[in-house]
This record gives sequence, structure tokens and C-alpha cells, in this order.
Amino acid sequence: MNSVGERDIRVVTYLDVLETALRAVPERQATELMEQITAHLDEALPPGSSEEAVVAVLRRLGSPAKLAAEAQNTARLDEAVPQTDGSRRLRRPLRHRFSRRGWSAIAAGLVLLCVLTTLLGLYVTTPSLVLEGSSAWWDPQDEARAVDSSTLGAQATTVPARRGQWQGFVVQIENPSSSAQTVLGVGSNTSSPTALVGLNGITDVWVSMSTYSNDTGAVPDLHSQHFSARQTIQPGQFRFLRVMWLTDTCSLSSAPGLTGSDALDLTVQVGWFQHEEVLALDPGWQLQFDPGCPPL
Amino acid sequence: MAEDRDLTELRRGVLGPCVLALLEERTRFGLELVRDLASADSLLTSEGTVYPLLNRMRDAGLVTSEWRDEASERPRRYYAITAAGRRHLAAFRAEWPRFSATVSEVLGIPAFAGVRSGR
Repeated sequence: MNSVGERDIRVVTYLDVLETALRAVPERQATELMEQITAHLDEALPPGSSEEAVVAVLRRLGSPAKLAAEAQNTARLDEAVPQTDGSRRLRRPLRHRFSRRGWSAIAAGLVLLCVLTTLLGLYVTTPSLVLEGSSAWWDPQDEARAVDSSTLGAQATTVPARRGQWQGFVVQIENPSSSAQTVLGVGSNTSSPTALVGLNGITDVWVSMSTYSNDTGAVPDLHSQHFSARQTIQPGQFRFLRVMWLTDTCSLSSAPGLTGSDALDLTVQVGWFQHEEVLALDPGWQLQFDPGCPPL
Repeated sequence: MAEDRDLTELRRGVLGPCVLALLEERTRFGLELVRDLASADSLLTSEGTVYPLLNRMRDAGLVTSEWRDEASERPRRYYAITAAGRRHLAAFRAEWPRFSATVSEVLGIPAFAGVRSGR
């Protein structure tokens, strides 16, 4: 079996996306499917496989979202199995006991109110996350071909779109506050990476954060990092946020054939409260579409 | 599109019996099974969806799976049909000709030579 280090970067990315997509699936099914798909890819793509072979195998395998949906169907069928009488019997005495002690619910409510008030104060006084430090295109070949530009004071970095392949960028996000902040996901305002899905040739987007974190400012090898959808950034620490797009065309009707993002719309949780934070991307990250690209 | 969804559902419905038929011939490992299914025209649109199906069939007792670590080969998970799987396949085989002929008749498609609707 191939080791992680021998796998093509597209395969590694695919497996990362699949692992994230399987978060909604019970752990046993998710682990088993990850094992099967990994074995499939290792078997179908021996070390040294060509780029065309990698792309073809991944395309035939299907999108991670589709596999996760199938696995989710399997999980739902499992849940449809009737419960045993024992599990039904268990709930009744618990409900009964709770109703006899309604006063305890009132006391718990008062405690909860105090906690909420404290957390609300914490939330109001917590500074926002900031983009700080390193940023790069995720794939080395994109990084090598990136072209920087400036229009009316707006900076942008642009790479050619590679149809049918995941492409994206990594930015460093720091938590300058004294409270832990959890990034739950990316919103969909008009300039966000997720807002592009279904528009301008982009068919899918995947946003994740590195599990790596420290407060020394040392930058690790990004491609050896593990990424997952939701991460908590401790005070004074940072994480890498990765945005990956999938495209299905080389040609856009709009001139000059560019699409990309200049802001990150993050859903952030502080304590028990959630809010939206919009971080300006400088530079903006763009894909250049070329009608002359090879067919799929 | 609606047509795509219809065809996807149709494929999903018949894929299980096709898997059982291949495993009735002999045990197969995952990629081997996927490739044999993919070689049948238009039966598979996403190869990866075979694996959740296999897991579902195993949980239903229609197939079993086991890892084999044979000399000169990488460890592979092999799938085999069970007695319950054979009965399930036999029942599907018995029903399929009449079912497909009925659908063809309703859709106004000439039945295949030698296949009668039984109505």
C-alpha cells in the first residue's frame, strides 16, 4: 500500500475532502468507507501514475459529496431498524422523574441565565480574527504559475483554471483575543468563496482549517498538515485556512474570464454565541479561464 | 435533471443484484468488482458508490468480506456472496424478465425477442 508521502497531491486532497464530507456519517461507516476508498486509490494508482491517470481515476470514483450521500443513506437504513423494547422502556422513567422535579428545571434555568450573561459579555469584548502571516496557492504548480496584479489599488493573484481539478489557496488566520474562537464554516456573502458555487464555472468548494497550531510563528510544511472543517483557535495562536475550488469549464461568458474571492465570510463561535466575520483578502485569489484548455 | 435522477435511481435499484451475480461467479476484491461493473455499459456513473452498497449488503447478510494478505500482493478486502445473497439473487432473476417486459410494454418499447410480459 502506498504511504501518505507517495500519494499524489490530488489524491491526498480528495481523501481530505471525503473525510470532511463524511462527518455527518456515523463513525463506523465513515471509517470503513475511508478505508475502502483509500485501498481503491492505492490499488488503482501505483506510485508514478501519470497526472491524466490520477484525474481519470478520481473522476470515475465520483465526488466526495456523492459518496458521503450514499454512505448517509446506508446509515439511515441502519437507523430504520426498529428499536428494542428495552430502549423504549428506558425513556419513560426518565421523563417521569423529570416531571416530578420541575423545580430543578427552574433552578437550572437561573444558572443557565447567569452563564449566558457572562458569555455574552465575553462575546461582546472579543476582538475579531485577523489574516496575518503566510499565504500561498495550495498546489505548487499553481504557486509557480501565479501572476500578481494590481487594479485600482486592489491586489490580486491569478492562476490558470485547471478544469476538473481542485485548486485553491491557504491563508493564515490568527486569534488576537484572550478567548478561544471556533471557526464553524464560511458564509455565502457575495464575495465569499462559497458564493461562487454554481457560478462562473465553479462547481464545488471545500473550506477547511489545519489542525496544526502554535504561537511561535513557525510555518510548517503545509502539505504535511491535516485539515478538517471545524477548528478552534486558542488565544494568540493561528491556523491555516484552506479554500479549494473545483471547476468544470475553461470558458466564461464574462470578460476577461476571471473568477475568484476577495473576502472570507466566516461563521465564528465564541463561547455559546455565533457571529459572522468578514475578513478582506489582500490579495484576492483568482482563477483565469482559458477557452483553449484541453477537453475533459 | 429529472431524467438523470430517474436513471440514477434505476441504476441504484439494479446494481445490488448485479454485484451479487458477479460474486456468485467468484469472490472479488473491491477494485476488481468495481472494474467489472464499470465494464458493463452505463451501469455505473460513480465507481465509489459501490462501496457503500457493499457495506449495506454485508449488513443485510447478503455478502461477507474478509481481508487477505497473499504473498506478492497488497492486502485486499475480498467480498463473497452468502446463502441469503444467493436466494436474493435467485428471486430477482425470477422476477426481472417479467418486470422489465412489463415496463417496456407500458413505455411502448417493443419487448426483446424471446421475452414475454406474461400478462
